[in-house]
Amino acid sequence: WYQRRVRALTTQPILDSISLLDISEPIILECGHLGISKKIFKSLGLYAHDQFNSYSALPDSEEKQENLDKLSSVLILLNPDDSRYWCHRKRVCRDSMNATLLEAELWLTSHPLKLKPKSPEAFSHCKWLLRNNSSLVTHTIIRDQLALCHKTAVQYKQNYYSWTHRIWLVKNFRPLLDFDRELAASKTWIESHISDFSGMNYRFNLILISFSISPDVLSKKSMSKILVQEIIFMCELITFYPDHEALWSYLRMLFLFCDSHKLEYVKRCKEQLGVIEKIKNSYADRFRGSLIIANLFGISL
Amino acid sequence: SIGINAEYGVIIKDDAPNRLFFSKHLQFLLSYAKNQNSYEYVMSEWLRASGVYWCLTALKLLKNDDLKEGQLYDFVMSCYSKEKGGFGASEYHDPHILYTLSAVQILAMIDRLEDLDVDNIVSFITGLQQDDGSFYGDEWGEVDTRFTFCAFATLALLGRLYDCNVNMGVQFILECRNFDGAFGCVPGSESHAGQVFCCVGALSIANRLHLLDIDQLAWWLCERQLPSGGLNGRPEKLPDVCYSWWVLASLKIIGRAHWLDKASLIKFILAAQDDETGGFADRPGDMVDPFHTLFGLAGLSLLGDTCLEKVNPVLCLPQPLVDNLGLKLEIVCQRD
Repeated sequence: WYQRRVRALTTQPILDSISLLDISEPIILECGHLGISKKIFKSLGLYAHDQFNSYSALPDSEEKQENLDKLSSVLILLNPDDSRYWCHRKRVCRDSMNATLLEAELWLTSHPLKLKPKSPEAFSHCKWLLRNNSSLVTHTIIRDQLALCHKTAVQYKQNYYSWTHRIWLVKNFRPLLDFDRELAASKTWIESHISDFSGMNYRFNLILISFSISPDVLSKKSMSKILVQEIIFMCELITFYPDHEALWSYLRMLFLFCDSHKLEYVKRCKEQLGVIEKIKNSYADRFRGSLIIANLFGISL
Repeated sequence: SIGINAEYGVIIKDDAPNRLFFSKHLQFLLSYAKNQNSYEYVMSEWLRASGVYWCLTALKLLKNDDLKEGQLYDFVMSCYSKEKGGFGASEYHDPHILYTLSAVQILAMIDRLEDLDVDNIVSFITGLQQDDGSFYGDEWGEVDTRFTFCAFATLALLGRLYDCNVNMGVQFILECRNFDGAFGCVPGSESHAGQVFCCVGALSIANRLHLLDIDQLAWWLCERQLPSGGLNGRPEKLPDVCYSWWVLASLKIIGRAHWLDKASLIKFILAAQDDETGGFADRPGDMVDPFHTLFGLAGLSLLGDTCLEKVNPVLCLPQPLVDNLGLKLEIVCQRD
């Protein structure tokens, strides 16, 4: 029965996106983009919800299990916030799991995120699957998970669950990913998403992880060097985009980290900090955010 | 530029609601379970216990006692799993720490705490605590500082806080503190006003507010206030009425609520009302719902609206109830 299920799942077309539309036809599929009629989506949701309750009430049987499994695989798309369907799937997965089924389940879990990129239950399910089958997790799986994080972060600005998941992946499966590539990619992301503090917090986490995985114990001097580079990076962005609270917030976090670890930075980026001071003063009345943030600096230049 | 758009994104129109539509809100809340076959009602079954808590608390803040307590009790107990000791969101839903708190909050408001098998519920909650002090939400192992708050709050309401390892619970919260002084859901996670409330609330219950850098945290919280007067949850996000609770209650607990611009916040919250249907939305012009209605009213209560019942900033329950339960929750005195 599991074989049939896997085959059914793997013969589905690769979906790029799923959207709800005001259309008369129930479903449109075009070049990997699935459109579902809003009306159909709602009536299907109610019907499936009803069916799930009905089958749940029946005495246990193979037919009941098969139906609940089919219904749950659709209901996680129709109502992704309802943990009941995810719980059911966890129970099934807990009983039997192998590499193929893990990939199939992760693939299935990616669908609700195409419709609802910030679904906490979907990300939670991914974590549960990876955590409980860590011996089956491959480079490819982690690569796909990181791609999923990237995609959902693009679709929904400052996607809290997506970025939290990404941090979790790096912390728990670092040997299975290209850490330096993640670090470089995080810089590129910030450069093109200057309002997205989530991406900045992510990069900050990567920097802290890089400190902890250094072969030699990182000296204050080398930690300071890396953070100075980061501070200069932020100062440059702020010079171009002074109105973005996220940039100021990240800059502040860098200062606070340096201060709490007694890392020297003022002398090394004196010029950049001078520019920031000027910007802060010229924007003082205009942009409340940067004024408040900048006031906390307490740097003596 | 995007920065300016995010900051000035919400502009309150001149004809926006500017007074509290007390009776409209009563009407809205009392009709919550009217159409049980509606798509919205059916598809929100997964949070029903919390939905009932939001409605009941909001009604209590409006000083209304119309809801039938017998029906409420029967509903809450249908969510109870005797086997596991916790409450699910609804009948047939597995127990979870979130809905266990909501259930106990409801039972506290209808004065039925004494009917509970307290030991069973306590063991459900303490069974979810991990070695690092964090709490699972349920058997599936998700960790989040929200669950720490739910655990501490539920245990405190049952008078059994120290049945869990409070010290380790506090340690985990501190692990989730970021360099900006605010808190995320797990260590390393981005600071978020909702998570801040949960952490500050939990520290208050545990009597450990002194572990906070209060001025630093208060500053971060005040940065949530935008020119429209509304509060957001993180930098560059839009304002949302529910943050009138998460941010304001946190500031109240740490004694810095006076740092906010009170008048413009009240203006924002009132503007988010629907003057036809009653209820509050996340921001002016959007659809109303019970969640934002509760937090809009609770925010206004904290800001001193005398028509409304006083609300406890830690547990989001009527203050007289919290007093009757003899709960002393740490609040820092207001001080410049």
